[in-house]
Amino acid sequence: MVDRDPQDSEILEVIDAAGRNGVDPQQLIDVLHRSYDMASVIEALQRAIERGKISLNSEGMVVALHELANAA
Amino acid sequence: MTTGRGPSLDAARRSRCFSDEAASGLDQRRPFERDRDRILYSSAFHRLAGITQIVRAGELDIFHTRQQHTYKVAQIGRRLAEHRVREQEAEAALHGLHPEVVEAACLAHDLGHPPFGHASESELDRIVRRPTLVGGTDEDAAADGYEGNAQTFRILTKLAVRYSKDHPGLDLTRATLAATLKYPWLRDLAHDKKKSKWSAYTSEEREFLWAREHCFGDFKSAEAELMDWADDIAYSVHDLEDFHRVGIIPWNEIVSPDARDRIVQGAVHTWKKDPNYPADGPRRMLTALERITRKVTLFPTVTREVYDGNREQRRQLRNFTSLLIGNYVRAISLTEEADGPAVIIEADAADEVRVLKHFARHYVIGLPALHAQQYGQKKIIRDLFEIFLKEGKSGNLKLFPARLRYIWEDNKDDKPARLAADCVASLTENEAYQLHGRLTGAESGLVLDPIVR
Repeated sequence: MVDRDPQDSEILEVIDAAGRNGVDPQQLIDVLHRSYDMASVIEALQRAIERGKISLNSEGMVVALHELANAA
Repeated sequence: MTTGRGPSLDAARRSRCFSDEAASGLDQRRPFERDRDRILYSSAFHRLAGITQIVRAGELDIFHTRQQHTYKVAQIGRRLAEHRVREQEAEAALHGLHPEVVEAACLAHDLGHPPFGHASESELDRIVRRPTLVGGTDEDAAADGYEGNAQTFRILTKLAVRYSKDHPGLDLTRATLAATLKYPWLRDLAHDKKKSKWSAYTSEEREFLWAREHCFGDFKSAEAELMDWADDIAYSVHDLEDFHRVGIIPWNEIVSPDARDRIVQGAVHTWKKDPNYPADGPRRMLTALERITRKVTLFPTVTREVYDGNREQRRQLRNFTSLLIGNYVRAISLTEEADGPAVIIEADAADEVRVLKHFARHYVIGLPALHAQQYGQKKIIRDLFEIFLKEGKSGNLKLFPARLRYIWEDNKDDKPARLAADCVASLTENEAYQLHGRLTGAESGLVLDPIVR
């Protein structure tokens, strides 16, 4: 486990890999949890929401609100 | 696309029953701004702080009062309208959509709710139609009963005190009055759609027809549509938030696949009462529940912890509800024709709101203590109505709090049951409890305290 929160760029990479329709929130959490503890994952996701980097679409899928390059 | 309903529509929308533009004098505000402010400053609006939706005002100081709910409806309604005007300028012009009107209608939308919420609303409906149940006569009855939305319209056009007796109500513009009409028809007991919800009594039919002159068929104005959707959003999300904070919503059950069938069946059961219930209702409720479950996944303190108000819980709860509201605000569009529905709401969003409302109904309204409370509250409503009816008909107005006497003095053409209901519906919940105690002799209170001011 890495002793820090996941970065926005890592979150956006997972979303980007999932394609246009975004990624299921549980799947996103599971992928990030492979490298980070759960508290860090949830903290990083809250921050990404609050900074307008990610959101939920009407289907409840997590989508990126900025291009990966801009966010990095 | 139909275009340009032009200056005549604008002039019609700005017109008032009793005064013209010249009456604004030095007032710097525009007509719809004045409407919004008149509602905000009315006694009926002030009263909203003393009544609630389901749980009694002030209980645990945690539940939204009607006034707090109304402020949030107004905020959401205004943002809905502003967003539509920015995104669909031509359609907004076609429908005459104005954010100030939507906000005004939102501020007014709950003015007619009696104390103690929907339980007393149905009780009033019963005894206004059949006053013989509480010692009245058949001649006292008002055949179209009681309904919170129709009472709102009556307050705005008749009961609100702002000007002289010959200019009753708030003298709002036609557009604002039309925007408050969520169910734009009078009651019709023979018509499924019109028998349980309606927005005006026959006593205000003239004002109703005037307000609706620029509207089409039975369709709500665009502004009324936005007010209605804002109310749905606020009600579903904020009630859920209130009941989550007191630990009544069992999230672990809701997100569990085992409970899904039961939740879906419950939501479908309620929806089936709607004449427009679709054949694929169960499937739609199931997929709506799945989407809500997905959406809450990012906020584990909501679903996995008992709420105690710690910082992280509050943060995640706010992030969750903010995302929900954002989704629903963006889920509407204006139509391109003036002769049909003015607004389209995405079915998925409407379905989710139905499911969220079901949570509150299912987990809260089933509480035994609430039933016992409502049993007593209905008795208070009946007792007060009976006293107001009997003493009002006898002209014994000295018994009435001074604030209520004008209802009988100024509206002599209306049915006595209607006036007795007006008196009951003008009270806050505390006023109802205290006045009931005094008038039934259970608790005299202080002689220098009029209770109702």
